[in-house]
Amino acid sequence: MSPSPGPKATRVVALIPAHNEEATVFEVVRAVRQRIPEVVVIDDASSDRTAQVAREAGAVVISHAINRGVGAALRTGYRYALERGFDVIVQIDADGQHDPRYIPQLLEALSEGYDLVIGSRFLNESYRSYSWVRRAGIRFFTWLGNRLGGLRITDITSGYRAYKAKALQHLGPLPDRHWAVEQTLEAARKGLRIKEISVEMPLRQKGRSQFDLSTFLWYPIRVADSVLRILLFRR
Amino acid sequence: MRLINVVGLLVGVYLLVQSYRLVRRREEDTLSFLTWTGVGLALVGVSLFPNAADYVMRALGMEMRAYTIFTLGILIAYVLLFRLFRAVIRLDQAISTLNEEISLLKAQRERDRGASRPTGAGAGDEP
Ligand SMILES: Nc1nc2c(ncn2[C@@H]2O[C@H](COP(=O)(O)OP(=O)(O)OP(=O)(O)O)[C@@H](O)[C@H]2O)c(=O)[nH]1
Ligand SMILES: [Mg+2]
Repeated sequence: MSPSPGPKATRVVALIPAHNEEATVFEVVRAVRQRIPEVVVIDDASSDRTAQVAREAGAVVISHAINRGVGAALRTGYRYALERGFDVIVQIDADGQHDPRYIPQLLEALSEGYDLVIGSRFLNESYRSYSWVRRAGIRFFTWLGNRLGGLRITDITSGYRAYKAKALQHLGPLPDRHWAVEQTLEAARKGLRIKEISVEMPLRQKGRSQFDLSTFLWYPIRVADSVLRILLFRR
Repeated sequence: MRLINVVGLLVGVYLLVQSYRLVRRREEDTLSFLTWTGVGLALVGVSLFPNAADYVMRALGMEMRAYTIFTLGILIAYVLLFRLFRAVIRLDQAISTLNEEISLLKAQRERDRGASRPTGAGAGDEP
């Protein structure tokens, strides 16, 4: 067998959006680094010690001056990853809900030829711990995304994802908040290959959720805006 | 057709063309799109079927001239609100862009500092 000079090694980076997660971010960064050495925490103007703690755990920290929301943090992270020439991006929450042990499965699905892989809590029993309002919301927006994007996924709002950098380059900038439906729909309509894997996602144990009454009330309006933007402007 | 109807029709068509151009140029301005399309359709409808408009006006109790002034006032207020809304949305996007830019620059600066420290080569560059 001839030792063919294989393609250059794939460079992987983990992006962790975090806002006031000092209680959990250390463990998350440590656990992720066992699988992906390059970890970037995007600290969205936390008022606690999230940035210091993440640095102590060995992450590169990018700190926003103003809190703008998860979508904005991800936008910053994607830009960092693309500008530095990473090939694969894994995205995982800082609150400990996303177990890093699934990372190999996410990466494997990418190497099977998919562009975007989503970790779904609806492919196992873990979705049951969420309130019925949350579940109904997720179900509705997933249905909408499936209808408009010709998909068959189960958890469109999940933030546990992996991307090929090449695929991300095809997508427009994310909105500051409520990014998941928009990203998934745009990816689907642009013909990116999307796969889901089953991921157990327990409820958050520590810290504060981004979900409060106003997030909840704005969600349908923001999603309507997203849908209109994708259908009209991002063909 | 009276002159006012012709003017209304032209303005309505103009607004519809504008929203079509937004889509063509991929300017991601959903607020303008919705407003222009909505107002454009309403104007075209009212100009083509003035009787329908009369009927609606009468139903709303606006057959008197004095009320027309109030109606105009409200319309103008709507235009102002629309412009303000758009200005706020633009500013909001600008802040977000700046925020992103600054955070990346800060991170870059930290990296540069970290890189220059161990070798001591960059010591002279430090202020
Ligand atoms: N950058 C940024 N990240 C945020 C913000 N709010 C939350 N996050 C982070 O985004 C991730 C997801 O936010 P969560 O509040 O956990 O949202 P969720 O998982 O959908 O909701 P829960 O099930 O209640 O945890 C976490 O890593 C948070 O630290 C924010 O304003 N800005
Ligand atoms: Mg969470």
